[in-house]
This record gives sequence, structure tokens and C-alpha cells, in this order.
Amino acid sequence: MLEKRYLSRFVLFAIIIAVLLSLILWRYISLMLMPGADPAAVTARTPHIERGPILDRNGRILALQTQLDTVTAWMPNVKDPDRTAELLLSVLDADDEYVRNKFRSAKGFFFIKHTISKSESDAVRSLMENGSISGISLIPEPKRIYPQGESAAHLVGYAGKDNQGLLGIEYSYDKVLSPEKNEQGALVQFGNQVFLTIDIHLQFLLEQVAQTAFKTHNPDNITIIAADGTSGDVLAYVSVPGFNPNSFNESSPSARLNIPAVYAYEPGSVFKIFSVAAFMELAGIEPNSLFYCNGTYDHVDPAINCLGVHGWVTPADIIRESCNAGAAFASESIEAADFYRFLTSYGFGIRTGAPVPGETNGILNGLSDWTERTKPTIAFGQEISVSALQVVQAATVFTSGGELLELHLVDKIVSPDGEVITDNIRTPVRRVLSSSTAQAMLLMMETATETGGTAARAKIDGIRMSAKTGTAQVPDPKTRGYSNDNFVASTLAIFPTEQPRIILYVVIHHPRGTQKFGGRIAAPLVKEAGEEIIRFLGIPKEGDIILTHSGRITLPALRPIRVGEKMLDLQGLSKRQLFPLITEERLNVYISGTGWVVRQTPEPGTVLQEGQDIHLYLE
Amino acid sequence: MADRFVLEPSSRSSFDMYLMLLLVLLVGIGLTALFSASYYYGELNFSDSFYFIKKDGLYILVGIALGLLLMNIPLDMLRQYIPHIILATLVMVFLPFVPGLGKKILGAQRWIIVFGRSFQPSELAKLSLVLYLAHIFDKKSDRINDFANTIFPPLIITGIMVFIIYGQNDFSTSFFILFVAIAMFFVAGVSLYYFLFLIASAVPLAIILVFTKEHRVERIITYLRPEIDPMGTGYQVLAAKDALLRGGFFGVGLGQGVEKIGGLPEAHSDFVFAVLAEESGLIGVVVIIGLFVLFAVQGYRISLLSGSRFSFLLGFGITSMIFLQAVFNFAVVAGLVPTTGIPLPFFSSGGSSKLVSLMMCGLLLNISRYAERRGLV
Repeated sequence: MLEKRYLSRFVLFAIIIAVLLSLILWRYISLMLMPGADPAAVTARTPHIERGPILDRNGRILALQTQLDTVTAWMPNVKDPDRTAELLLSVLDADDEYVRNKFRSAKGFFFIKHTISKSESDAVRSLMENGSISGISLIPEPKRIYPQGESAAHLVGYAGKDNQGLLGIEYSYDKVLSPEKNEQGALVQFGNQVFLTIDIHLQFLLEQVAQTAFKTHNPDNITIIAADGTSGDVLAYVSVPGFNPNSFNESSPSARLNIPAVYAYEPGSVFKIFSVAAFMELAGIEPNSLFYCNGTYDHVDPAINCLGVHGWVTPADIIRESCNAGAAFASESIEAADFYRFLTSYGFGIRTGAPVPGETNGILNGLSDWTERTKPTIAFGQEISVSALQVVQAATVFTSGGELLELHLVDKIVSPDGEVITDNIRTPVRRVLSSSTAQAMLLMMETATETGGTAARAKIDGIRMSAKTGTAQVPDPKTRGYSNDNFVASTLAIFPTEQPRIILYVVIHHPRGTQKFGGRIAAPLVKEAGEEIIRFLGIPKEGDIILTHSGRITLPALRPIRVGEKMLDLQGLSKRQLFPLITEERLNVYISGTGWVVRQTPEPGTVLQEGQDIHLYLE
Repeated sequence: MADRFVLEPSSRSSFDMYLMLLLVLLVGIGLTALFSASYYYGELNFSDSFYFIKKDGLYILVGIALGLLLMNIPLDMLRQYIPHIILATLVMVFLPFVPGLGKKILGAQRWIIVFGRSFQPSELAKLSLVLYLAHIFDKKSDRINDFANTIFPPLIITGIMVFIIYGQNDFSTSFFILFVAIAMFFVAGVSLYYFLFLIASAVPLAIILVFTKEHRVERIITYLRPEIDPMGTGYQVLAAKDALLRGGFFGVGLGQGVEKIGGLPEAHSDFVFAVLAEESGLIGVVVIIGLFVLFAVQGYRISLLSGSRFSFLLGFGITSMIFLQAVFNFAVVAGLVPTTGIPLPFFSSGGSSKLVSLMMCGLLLNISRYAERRGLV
């Protein structure tokens, strides 16, 4: 029989352990049944939410959730820390010192590297399989990828490591894409899908236009916005330079600036279309009313100089020749208060409400701050600052018969089950102009694109186009006046004039080439971009051959070109149509350009030899 | 007068069936839980969802064989070899440090390779130390508070073992072994005066140890406020809490847990209980904790009734090694103790731990045969 002393000591020991165990059991009860007791347990971890995708208007993917592996270590299972560190460093692109130190000092769990690439994953996994790095785990972590790269990056934005939207739609629609976890114990909760109004193919085409021009003019920024003026949908949202959201932390903050929304600038003469339309609407100025420009507007001190001496000018002449003095004289026809009210009804001085962070109000001074120069100056687009989005939104008054339309960047929001939650359809905000004024302004703007007009370089053959150019001076913070070499060159175009549909706005901030005028450098971009849009959307041009046909056509199925057979006539085919035809590996096919095949060597009918070169030129 | 016909209670009476049944349950449920917690990880990383089951299965088989051997070996014979065992263990825990042998040949800091399989000598140290302490405290029970003769030698042996294991970067195991050793000192009747002295000297020492290394402070902070660093050190603690919360009362269903699929790294290892809690809820938690408590009750009961000081102390040490380790693991998973490398016996993956646990249980069953019949169920 045991001595009593053992028993009493044991009883003491047992009581201590029993108390500890009860505490632990109570902890389990409280953790498992009373979630409120420990708020950190529910909220602090990344929830299992599958962030919804961002898509273009046709459902092409702009942002997508994927899972990439993250390498973690659990030190109690790591057999040889130093060797494990070296093995991992040999396959991971990581901070060597950090990893080595971690392996030396850490005791429990730690992260080695987040969201590694597929090839890194494979390498780590093979090390794990042969057992040389015990204690190392790969855990899947969400990673946002942007298959379109730089395309529309400012609009789409990006999400950070913790899956939180940091810019663009990713930021503004964070809660929509990644709703709060509301269901306990759900395996995965899916976020909603956000469809944008842009068409990523058109976006890409216009980005190319902007990038080419960027090389020529070396400006701070080129913005091109194309919108459907009948619906308010933005079709392309280009801002160059851009950045790649897949590696956003490698880009400069200035490249990530969403210039079309956040940057306010003085628009210059483009603004005359809004001011002159206001004078026509309020004061009944007729297209044939006359104003005299002797080169200055001298009713204020100091006087406002015009770029030329235009003599007697009509409102149409003011638009076509961009006469500042004429616009200033015309502004005398209305009161400042009326003008101010009208400008706000265009939406100037107020955010458009575009769902991108940091949108500017623009700068429209309150009436009490207006001087005698303010009204005539705003008439030709200085002393007022606008964002490119405001200009495009205001221009919808001309495309929708005088009504201002809400500008849309998001087309619709669709739930994970495919149910449409929000559908942004044409939303008129208010009537700004009568339809006759809107119509008259379009016709006046059309004269600017005729030979000799300021916007003649924007003109596209075979299509009626209304346009207005602008070259605005930019205030120089040093001299407190306007800069001598920093300009904003821009052109706003609306086409086709007879049935206005597309609003196209090109802004070049601070061009540094030899040419700086909007009519010189921005108008040609309108032409280039406009041609892409017309081709892309199939807007009919004058001179297009329109065939009437029974509607029944039979196409001979094209067979892939083969060695030993005759070369086909591939002209007129698109790249997409080409690919199934050029599967033959014994031929060397070279494709240059984009668009459709315009030339080919060898000629159709040539019998093809093995190893023969085939050149296809696309335009 | 009837006494003449009563047989002397045999020293070779049958082992305790009740304990045997508990062991079968623990090993069986443990393997099942390990499978559920590890199949995803095994499939993902080794293209074999049974990877961990197969790996540990072998150790279990060896463990059962050795356990059966220890179950039938006469305790008195075993006692004669205790000096050899303790010496061999000291050599083994030291092996990984031998220059040339340690890393290059044995390839590990706290593992050694036996027959092509890795083995953690620190696990064996648990058994050897318990054997040694039971032996020495029995032998010198009449002068238990003689510091130079009774307390100092086992203190030194314990200290060396703990120190070597600590040197293998295995803070948790060394701390745990020290804890059980102290419990044995306590139950063996060492004067409380020494324990007061121990506490008085250990607290400042611990503070110095903790605050001389930045990462230790970091871990204490993460322990206190895991939400400060949810994507760093606190991640695993929060993942475990998430698993518990998701489990609720009834659990999400066996095999249905999601934390092991990515959320909780190395779920098959020290956090296997979190997966079990998620899948079987509070019911499962209570059942498993209950099984370990029954194991402890039975183990301690066998020890108390075994009749000799040595078998009492041995049984107490063995039961404590397994039961207290489980208690530690429960506390870690519940976030009550900083994350450590303390596996849950019979549940967590790890062959050495299972092997040695089964060996220890073999000894416990051996002791049960000496237990006096009365009072036993």
C-alpha cells in the first residue's frame, strides 16, 4: 500500500490539473458557442469570399479571382532550418536575408512568400514530394489577375494583397464584388459580377492610337474618351501613360492617376460649344446674329485678345474659327447669374458621379467670386476647370436632343446566380437645351470640320462630323499667370452629325512636340480614333456600298492551306478567321499588322512547297 | 481457515481491459481524425491522400509490437537496465549535435534516421526520464529531501536532457518534459520549500529568456492579440479559432471541414484538434477531452493501486506524459497558450510521438497487472 504522503500530493496535483482542464473546456464552450465573446476570431481573418469578376460590356474578363500558392513554414516540423531555407531560396524569388533570418529566429508559424508563381509552386511542390523540406506548406491564397494588362487599368483599378479594392472600379465596387461575409460556415461565398460599359476591343484600339501619339508629342497625358451619346455609356476610357495592375506596385503613383476623372483643367475653346449654346438658348441668339471682332474684346480691363481679327462673325463663325472676342461679345447677351445657372445645369462644377475614386468637382467659382472678366472668359473656356468626364457628360445634351444624360461606366451588376441586380439604362438627368438649339450647335460644329475650319483635321471622309478644337493655356504656379509652353490641346467630336451617336473627346495634356494646337495635334487623333470606332461599330459611311440581298448565302467552307495544294485567296479575312486555316506546320506563315488581310504572297493559286514562306499583311 | 484455499493473488493477473479499450478508441479515432485533417494536404503535396496515414501506420505497428513487449517484460528486470537506458537516451538526444554525424549523415537537427525512417530522440527521452525518475525516487524514498543524494542527481539528469532538447530548437518539448519532471518531483514528496525556490528563480529567468529575443516578445504579443497581425504570426491562431467557431455545437460534419483546405496550415500536425472541433463540434470536443480524462483517471488509478512506489511513480509519470501533453495541445488550439510544437498524442501526425506513446502505454498496461483487484471496475 502506498504511503499517505504520495496520495495527498497526488490529490493536490489532480485538483490543479482538474481546474486547468475546466478552464480549457470553458474556453472551448465560449469559443464555439458564443462568437461574440471573441470578435477577433470572426473578423480578422481573410474571409472565404470569392471576389466577383469585372467584365466588359460583352462579358470579356477584365479582372478575375484566382488562387495562387503561398509558402508557409511550421517550425516544429522543420527538420533542418538552414538547409530548408537554402533549398527554398534556390527555387523562390524572395528576399534572401529575410527568409534566412526567419528560419533562424522563428519558432512557430510564419509566411515565407505570398502568392508565388505557378513555376515556383511546382518547384516547391517537388521539393516537398521528395521530403527534403518538411514543415513547409503551400496554402492557396486569393490573387487578383488582370488578363488585359494595362488596358483600361485606370478604370478597372486593382485590388491589393488582402483582396481589397484599392483603385478604380475595384475600389468603388469593393462591397459589391466582395460582400461582407454574412453566412456562418458557408464554404465559399461568391461576389457579384460587375459589367462595365466599355468594350475592351475598342478600348485596345484607341489605346494604340493614344500610345502612338504619345511617342510623337511626349505629353504628360493623353486622354481619349468615347461614349455612346444616345445611352450615356462610356465605350472606351483611355488614359496614357498607364500601368499594369498585375504589378501595380512597380508603377509610379503618377502613372496610376486616373486623369480623366481626377484632373481638373481649363478646357479652352472646346467650351465654346457649351457657352454659345447657352447664349442661343437663353438670349435667343440666332445662328445668323452678328458680332464684330476687331482682335480684342475691350469691354473689360485688361482687354481680352483674340487670336485673329475675324470681323463680323455669326455664332457659327465663332465655333468654326474659334473666335474668342466673338464669344466674349456674345456673352453680353445674358446675365452672369443665368450663365452660372446654365453651367451648373450642364453639370460643370459638380462631380458626374462616375464610380471611380477621387473624382474632381472641377472648378466653377461661385457667382460672388466672379469678376467682370469671368463671364466673357468662361465663354471661351478659361477661368473654369473641368474634368474630361464632365465634358463628355455635358456633350450628351447635343446627342440626345438637349437632355443631359447620366454618364455610365458600369453597365450592370449581376449576382453570382446570374440575376441582374442593377441595370444602368439611359437615364436623362434634366433638359438643358431645346432640341432645336442642340441641333443648331451640331450643324455649327460641323462647319468647323469643313476645309478651312479649325477641326478640319478631324474630318473623316464619308461621314458627317461635328467637332470643336481647343488649345487652353495652363496656369503657371511660378508666374501666377498663364504658362507660355504648357497647353492643353483637345478636340471634341460628335458623329454622325445627322444622327448623333458617338461622343469622342481627345485631350493632350502638356504636349512637348513642335505643334501644340488642338486643331493640329488633337484633331488628327479624333480622326484616327473615329475611324477605328466607325469600323468597329459598323457605322455606315457615305460611299459605302450597300447591297440588297436575298439573305441566303452559301459560303464554301475554307480548307486549311496545305503543302502540295494551291494557295487560297485569304484577302479580306480577319486574323481570327485566319488561324484555323494556317495550321499546316510545314509552312512558315508570317502575319504582320492587325485588321484584315489586304495583301498576300504567294498569289492565290500558287502550288505550295514544303518550308515555303507565306506573308500576310493585315490592315 | 478458509484462507488455505484462497490462491495468492497472482502477480501475473490479466492487464486492465478498460485501459486497453480506451487505447484502441484513442488510436482509432486519432487515425480517423488525422486522415480527415491530412487528406487534402497529402493529396496536394504528395499526390496521396493516405500519405500521413501510411507514414504513421508503420510507426503504430512498431509501437504496438514494442508496447506488447514492454507489457510483458517483468518490471524488476526492466529496472536493472534503467542506468543503461538513461545513458543510451542521453547519447541519442546528443547524436544530432555530433559534428559530421549530425547534419550531414543524419540530415537533421532533432531527428535521426533509424532503418531509413526519421525518429525524434526527444520523444524517447520522455519515456527514459520517467523511468529514471520513478526509479530514483523509489530507491531513495526514505531520504527524499536529502538534497545532495536524492534531489540533485535527478535534477542534473533532467537539466541535461531538457537543455539538449532545447538546444535542438525544440523549446516546447523541452519545456513540457521539464513540466512533467517537476510534477514527478512534486508527487514524489520533495519538500514544498524547493518548489518555492524553483518558482522564485524561474520567473526572473523566464522573463530574461523571453525579452532577450525579439521573436519571443513578438510571439507573446501575437498570443495576447492575434488580430494585430492576422496575415502574419497570428494567422494560425485565428485560423484555429475560426475552425472552432465554425464547428459550433454539432460541427459541420466529419470530413466536411474547410479550415484544413488552406485556411489552417499544417492542420495535420499540432492543430489536428481544431479540425476535429470544426467537423464534430463541441460534442466531439467533449468526447475527445472526455476520452483523455478517462485515460488519465484509469492510468492514475492503476498507478495508485499498483502497490509499489516504483510502479506508482512510473504509472503517474507515463499517464502525465500523455495526458498533460493532450491538455497542453487543447490549450494551444484554444489559443490559451502560445503556439508551440506540442502534438496531440495519438492524433497529430508524427511517428516518433505515436511510437513512444504506445511503448509507454505498454508499460502502463504492464503495471495494471500488478494492480490490486479491489476498487477496480
